[in-house]
Amino acid sequence: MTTQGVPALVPRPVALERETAYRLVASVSLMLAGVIHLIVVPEHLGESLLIGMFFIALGLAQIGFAVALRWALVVPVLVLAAVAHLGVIALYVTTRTVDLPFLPVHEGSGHAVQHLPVAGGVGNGTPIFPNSHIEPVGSLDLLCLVAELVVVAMIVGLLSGRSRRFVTNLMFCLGASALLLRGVGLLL
Amino acid sequence: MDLTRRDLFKMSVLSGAAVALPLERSVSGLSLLSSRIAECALPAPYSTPFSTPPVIAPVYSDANADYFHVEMAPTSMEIIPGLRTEVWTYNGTLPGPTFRVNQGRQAVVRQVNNLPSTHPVLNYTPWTSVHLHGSASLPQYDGYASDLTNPGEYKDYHFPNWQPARTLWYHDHGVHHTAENVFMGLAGMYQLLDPLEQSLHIPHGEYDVPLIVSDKMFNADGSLLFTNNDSSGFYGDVILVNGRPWPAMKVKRRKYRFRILNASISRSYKWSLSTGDKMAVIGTDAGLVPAPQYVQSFRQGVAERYEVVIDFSKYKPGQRVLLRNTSPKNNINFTNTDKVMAFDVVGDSFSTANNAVPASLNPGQPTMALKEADAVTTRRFDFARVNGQWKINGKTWDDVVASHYTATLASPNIDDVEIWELRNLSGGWHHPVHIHFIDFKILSRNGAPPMPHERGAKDVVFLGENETVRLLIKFGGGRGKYMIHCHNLVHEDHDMMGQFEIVDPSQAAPDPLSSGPYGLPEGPIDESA
Repeated sequence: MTTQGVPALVPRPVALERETAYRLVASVSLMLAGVIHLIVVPEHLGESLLIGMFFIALGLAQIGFAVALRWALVVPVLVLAAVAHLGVIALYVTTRTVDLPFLPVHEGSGHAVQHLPVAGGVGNGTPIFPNSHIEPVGSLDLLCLVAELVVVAMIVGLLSGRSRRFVTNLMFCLGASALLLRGVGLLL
Repeated sequence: MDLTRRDLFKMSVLSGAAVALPLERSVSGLSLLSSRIAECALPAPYSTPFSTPPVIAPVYSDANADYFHVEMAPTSMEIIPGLRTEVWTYNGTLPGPTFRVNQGRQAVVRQVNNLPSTHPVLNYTPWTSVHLHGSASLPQYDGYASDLTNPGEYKDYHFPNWQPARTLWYHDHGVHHTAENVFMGLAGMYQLLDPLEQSLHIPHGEYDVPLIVSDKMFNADGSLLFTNNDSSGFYGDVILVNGRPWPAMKVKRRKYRFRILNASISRSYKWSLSTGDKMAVIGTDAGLVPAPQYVQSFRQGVAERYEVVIDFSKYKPGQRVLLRNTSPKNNINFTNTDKVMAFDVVGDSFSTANNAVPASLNPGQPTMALKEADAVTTRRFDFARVNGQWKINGKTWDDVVASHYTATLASPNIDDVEIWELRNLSGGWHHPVHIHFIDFKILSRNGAPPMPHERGAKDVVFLGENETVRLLIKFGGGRGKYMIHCHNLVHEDHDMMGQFEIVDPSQAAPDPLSSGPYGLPEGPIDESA
């Protein structure tokens, strides 16, 4: 028996509804993540202009993408958005687990306050404690992380075939690599 | 399109890692302490022999002064048996060599900074400023925090030694990293002798013993482990006496005088003997007390010095007497931080000379002779933590730097007597407060008389939790800008330090930043001061 010529009465509206739901959840999650990134801009601007600008750009991009999701976006844009968010998530994990020397010293580790230069002093006189560049996990950034993970999951739901496999394989590789690095002690 | 189980699995690998790894690190805390040496790898308390630091000899002397040469440099030594530890020392010993100088003879000490250009772990430039704690030094030789000697430079310090006999100590005071430099080992004792103290039949010579107490923490490889507990202080799990962990000292059946210096970064102690016997406190920071005070236990904050006579004559040979620490509150304690050292009584013969504690030691002590009625004013100083920074009256050392070193917390006139009221309105921490240059008398502690062991002239006062301490101070003997700060060195570095100025309308004071340093190689010593 063949179904050729028979209209698919049920599956199509369900698929459409599901796609709409993915877009809606992704939009809300993007809004949430974008707003959180903008909320923390003043704090990061105080640390570094470059980092502050990064948070502004990221927050605005996420809000813009949340709005753009009202329309059906082409697959390459969706893949790009997913990959970009995976990059942001990887950056988040790195800043919370690796002592990156170019990042500011966070409060509570050694000297949180930038001192005035001391006349006659050569070099940096302020101790920099091991791991003091690692940011602690806060409730706001944890919420943002979850929102971004939801965004990627929803985008995966909007994709199919090779593009979906590409994104999910990338996610698997990133996650497995992080766990492996933790296992060998390269992540704290 | 539906998400398949395979999709969900792949996504959950990333999601799990992204959420769990940062959280795991946060929950386990700063992983600094994960490298701490296991307790079982530390020596058992009282298994290490006791020793004292060497006494430094002058490189030459003239009619008025003795000249000393001291080099600050990295040194590798065995503190934990079987492990090497890199420390920074004065002349290669931990603690630094002991100075023994006579009243009336100046000491000129060349301090050469041969430390590395950056700290091997904490990555800071170890500039130094050597403070002789307890000395009425001129401002430019007082170890002013911003008077820096960088690696590759040296400075000649002039110490007047006109004050009454006392136990002083020298240590680094370089701004921003005093705690770290002292933790690395830059501290030593300095004993000032005078005819009165030498004439008393209290223990002298081999029976006059320095006990320089500090606490350290080590990594498993023997290297030092420093953590400042969110800027509240450093608290190590190993108690060192004269650089040895929990040592055991052989003592003869007679009286010994111990000069106890708390050279820790943050830890305060409360001493007692395992026998419950009393100790005679014969000296405080600024020398002999008017009369000995007999106490079963007493509290000692960072940088305080107490001279204590313990009488071992009542104990049998073979008996072990322990010096214990029942910690004041708000220290972080570990398994063996209640132990300090042991005294093993031996039956060897001994000299019976200078084996007494006279009922009167220094009845005319000038600071203790001051009267409250002599005070011309009362000033109040509040020690508090504000937005993570430690402050005095809302100010920090950065405010002093920003003012180009003109801002002061007080400007008493020379020879005035004042009451300084120090307040700690917190129950969460205590502050050992040090006032440079002057000696003071403690008038009261929360309205009550000072504790028995504090009834002598001092330069550090333990400002306990929710305490108000009133001090009587005569601003005599010199002029200029001097520091006042918390001697919990982590608090000091973060930035509980200010300055006061003793004003003399008739004579300008030297600038604290007016002398040296000079670049290596070394030139002729400065004999001009």
